[in-house]
Amino acid sequence: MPERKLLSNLKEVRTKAGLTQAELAELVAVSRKTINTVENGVFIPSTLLALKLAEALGTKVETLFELD
Amino acid sequence: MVVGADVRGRRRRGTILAGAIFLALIGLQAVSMAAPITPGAARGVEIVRMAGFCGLVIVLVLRSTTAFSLMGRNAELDDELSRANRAAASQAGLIAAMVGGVVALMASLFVALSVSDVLPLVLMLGAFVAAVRFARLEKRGEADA
Repeated sequence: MPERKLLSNLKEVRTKAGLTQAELAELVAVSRKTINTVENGVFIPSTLLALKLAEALGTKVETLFELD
Repeated sequence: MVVGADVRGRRRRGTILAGAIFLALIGLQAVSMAAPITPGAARGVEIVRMAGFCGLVIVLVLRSTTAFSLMGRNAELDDELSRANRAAASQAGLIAAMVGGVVALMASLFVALSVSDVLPLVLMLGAFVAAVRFARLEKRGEADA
């Protein structure tokens, strides 16, 4: 079975919300680097961070992340 | 505040990288130039050099694989990305040290090697690889938004 990857829509949702990476990072208490690497698919966030991001952006985790 | 964390993160990465390079230089120099140390009759300069080397190894390992800091924990520099990077650095350092130890063990079949010949190299290898791995992983995500 081929390995399925995580697709991130975080950048689109964040941009639509009018937030910079730095602003979003401050809202969820992580570094801007973490937001950057999650958006680029380099880093897979924990469940906790994914929930915090969804809450900060007023959306659901499934809107931010999906399987390919 | 988050911009400050970026600067602090870059500074931390640079410090660790500089420490790793310095460790490699003094470690290699110590191995190539050192006269054998007589146990129980080590000179003051040898004790100081060894203590300095060990101190540098410990500091590098602590800074690149743990959240230890004399200034207290910084939540922005110790988020889950940094924790993941530290775990990866620990793994890389451990593997490098193990490989160094195995190579030294095999080499001892052909060349006479003492503890003071082998241990500094193994320690240096582990600490150097862990520090460099951490620095490289921390560099990810530093591109502008």
